[in-house]
Amino acid sequence: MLTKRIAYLIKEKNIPAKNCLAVTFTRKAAQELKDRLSVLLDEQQAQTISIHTFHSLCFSILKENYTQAGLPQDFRVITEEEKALYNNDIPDNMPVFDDLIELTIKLFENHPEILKEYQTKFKYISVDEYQDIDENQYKLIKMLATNDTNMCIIGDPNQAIYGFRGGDSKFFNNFTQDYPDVETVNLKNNYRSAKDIVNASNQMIESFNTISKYSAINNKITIHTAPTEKSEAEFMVSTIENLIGGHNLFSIDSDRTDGQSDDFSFGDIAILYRTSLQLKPIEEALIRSGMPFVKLSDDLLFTKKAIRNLLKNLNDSTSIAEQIKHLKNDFKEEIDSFIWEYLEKLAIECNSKNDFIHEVSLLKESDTIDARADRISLMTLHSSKGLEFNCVFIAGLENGLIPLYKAETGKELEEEKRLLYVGMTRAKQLLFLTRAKKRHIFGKMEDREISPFLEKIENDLLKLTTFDKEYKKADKENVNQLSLF
Amino acid sequence: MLFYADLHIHSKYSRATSKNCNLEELAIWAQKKGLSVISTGDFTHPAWFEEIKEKLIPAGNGVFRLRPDIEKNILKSNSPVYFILSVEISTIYKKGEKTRKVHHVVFSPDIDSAQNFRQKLAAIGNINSDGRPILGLDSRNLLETVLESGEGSYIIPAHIWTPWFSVLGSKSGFDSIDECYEDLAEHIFAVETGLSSDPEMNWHVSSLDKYRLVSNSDAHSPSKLAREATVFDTEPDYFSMMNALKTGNGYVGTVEFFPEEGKYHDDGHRKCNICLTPSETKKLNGICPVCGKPLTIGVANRVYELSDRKGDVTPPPTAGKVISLVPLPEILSEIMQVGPSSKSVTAEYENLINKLGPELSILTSVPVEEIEKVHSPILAEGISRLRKGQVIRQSGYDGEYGIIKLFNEDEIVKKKLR
Repeated sequence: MLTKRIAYLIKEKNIPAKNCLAVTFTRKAAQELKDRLSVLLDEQQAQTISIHTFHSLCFSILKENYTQAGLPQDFRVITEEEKALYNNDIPDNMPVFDDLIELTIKLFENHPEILKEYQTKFKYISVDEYQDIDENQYKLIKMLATNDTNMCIIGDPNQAIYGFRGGDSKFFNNFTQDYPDVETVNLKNNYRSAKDIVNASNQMIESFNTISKYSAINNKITIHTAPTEKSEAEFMVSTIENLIGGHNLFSIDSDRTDGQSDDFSFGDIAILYRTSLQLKPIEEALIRSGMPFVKLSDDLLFTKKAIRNLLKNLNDSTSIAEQIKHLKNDFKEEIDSFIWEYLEKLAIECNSKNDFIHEVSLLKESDTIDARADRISLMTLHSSKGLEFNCVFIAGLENGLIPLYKAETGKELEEEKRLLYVGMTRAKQLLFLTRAKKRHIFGKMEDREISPFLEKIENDLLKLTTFDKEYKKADKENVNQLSLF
Repeated sequence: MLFYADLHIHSKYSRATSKNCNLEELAIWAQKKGLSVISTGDFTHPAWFEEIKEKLIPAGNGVFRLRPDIEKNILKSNSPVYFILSVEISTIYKKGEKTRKVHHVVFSPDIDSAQNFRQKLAAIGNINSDGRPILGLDSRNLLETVLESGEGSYIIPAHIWTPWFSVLGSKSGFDSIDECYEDLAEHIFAVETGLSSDPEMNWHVSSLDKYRLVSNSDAHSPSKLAREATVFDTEPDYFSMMNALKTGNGYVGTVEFFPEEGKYHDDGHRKCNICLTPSETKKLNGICPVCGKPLTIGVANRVYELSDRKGDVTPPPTAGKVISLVPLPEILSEIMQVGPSSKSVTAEYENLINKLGPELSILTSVPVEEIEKVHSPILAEGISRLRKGQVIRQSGYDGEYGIIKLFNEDEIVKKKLR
């Protein structure tokens, strides 16, 4: 939608590309937007458009006006984690990542002439995921947009899930008051998800402003109740095996799968969860199955202790690539091999220790993944935002997980509900909501209640399954077959 | 030197394999069968790789042999059993809106290249839980990874006709090798026929003319080694064998199952007890008359579908000699009217091997008079029929092995053993 609009402005309305600014929420979204625009427009134009995240926008504004901002010409941004590595000898005037926006606002306040420059430049502003912006981001956009600005914001208040870090959908809801002349376009057609998925998620969140325009087959939503978190994970794994149509002859010959469906591959499948505490049994079951999977973590690579320790060991005596190679033996147990592959390649491109540290400090774990390989994706509900999969499993539909036990106030509970809404609407064809009747919580086995959020979904959209004796039987047979050899 | 090689097998670390698939047992059985070179299989698996590094030593030119202290307890003759490093990889991925599932056998000439390859794979998938790892990688990219891992590393597409998991399979493959490996297809020089097809069937597809055909057991237990094998007349080392497969120089041919014995030869449904020939399947429009679901299309049907030469064919220039055999325990089982893994068959088998030499020699070259002298007229008669190809065939289908018999039932009753 954003892509089409910008392409339309430039191609049909002859708006100069340099006057367009697009702000997205993540680096990945920005990159996707760039990629798509470079297909629709000619290379030159696509390059000229300013496509940014809030942080990268502010970084480039500060770079262009470093004197007025009181920064050295060669200033770099560091992350909080990077800062910790410097043991107090932080080079002067290195702004921390999260200060970028405030510094830019200050620059604009102190130097209205600079602000004017950008107001004139960015005549066409587009902002994505507006429901999740926070106070400072709101302020920045408000400063850039004048009465003459043509601005387009996109957002879905039902998908506001960043309240815990300052995001507030009130900015989205107040937009019509902030700006006098607003035209609202409701995008009510959902082309992504099958009918029952759209209907069930609407019922769940009690908001009925979307309808499914998805034409392929409709499938009921499965709610699966398992006795424990282990069998919950086993259910997911055996269901995936069936969807793939068996991943080895053994699973076909032993009737574990019928081998008939062949529409799905690993990349079509995502398993979502509320917290990473749910991960262990899921990972264990997947590892046993031998199917490839990957955790798509939004966490910065820096949050791993082993990575920080690795970086502390670097110096500028020899090339970074050489040092990394050398350090590999000490660290290979603690750092996943796909991250190593990535770091080894990155090291070759970096000239100094600080260079390398900075590059690493910007990386998310998910940035380091080799995109050529198809895998089952594991991620938190938060990380799933903006993505889509043919088949989605959401694990732990229990009171205490979804909503999370920490959510108490009405506002917090509403955000938990929106989080489930985001998760459910990631699914295109198939949606499985699973829960366990008993689960280990901080080492103690606890009885679990079903998530209250599911109450509002009408029964005729649902297929309720419980722990299926057939699976147990099939597994037993497998064991017997194995021992026959 | 003329020798037999079995280049696709599995260790105890693959799914559904025998616990005694270790290097010693594999070497012992290789000798019983008469194999000079076997593959290690599964080298990407960490525990197996450690075992390989611990128990095998390089024997030059890309082959390995057991450490002397282990070998001396096992070796029955002067010629050792050589190992080469290989692993089967399963790739499952989407291409052209269709899910593809292709099995490949990867070969490495040395530990370093193998280690490189393992490392690259570990970064994109799980190599720790199955000796035959499953990756969501496009076959073309797998081949690229293999080529990058070291000079002399190759892929041979595995059992190319198997319906569920192969490059030309009816359910999840492609219509040609080129379509699968794209721009890198030129690096493929040999393909594995699998149990359910024999070279003659493959000769019906002219696009396969440029590939040397290999046959291997894909054994999941040591006693299944050599049920199919490849025959060379060159030095028993990695580079000579690969060169023979590339150029034909030193390539002799293959030892085959009768293709009907393979478990995916004909079409059908195992659960519905329905086995059909391709023409019968066609009459039923591919639908099972019992359950109404699509039939599992077997190898014969798929070969026919892709064939551009119908009827009798002349072997292409790349073709080798073809020897079709039935495993000795199965012949004994038929004669003795007990199961092929029963104690009595095992005892007879060991007895024969001790007196007459390796199984492959017994089946192919030991004079029948000698077999009669050492064992029985009926076994001699059976093996003589086998060598003439006079067998009674009942086709395998949908995962059910076929049955190859040498005698009519009334013959067995009449001719008592010994």
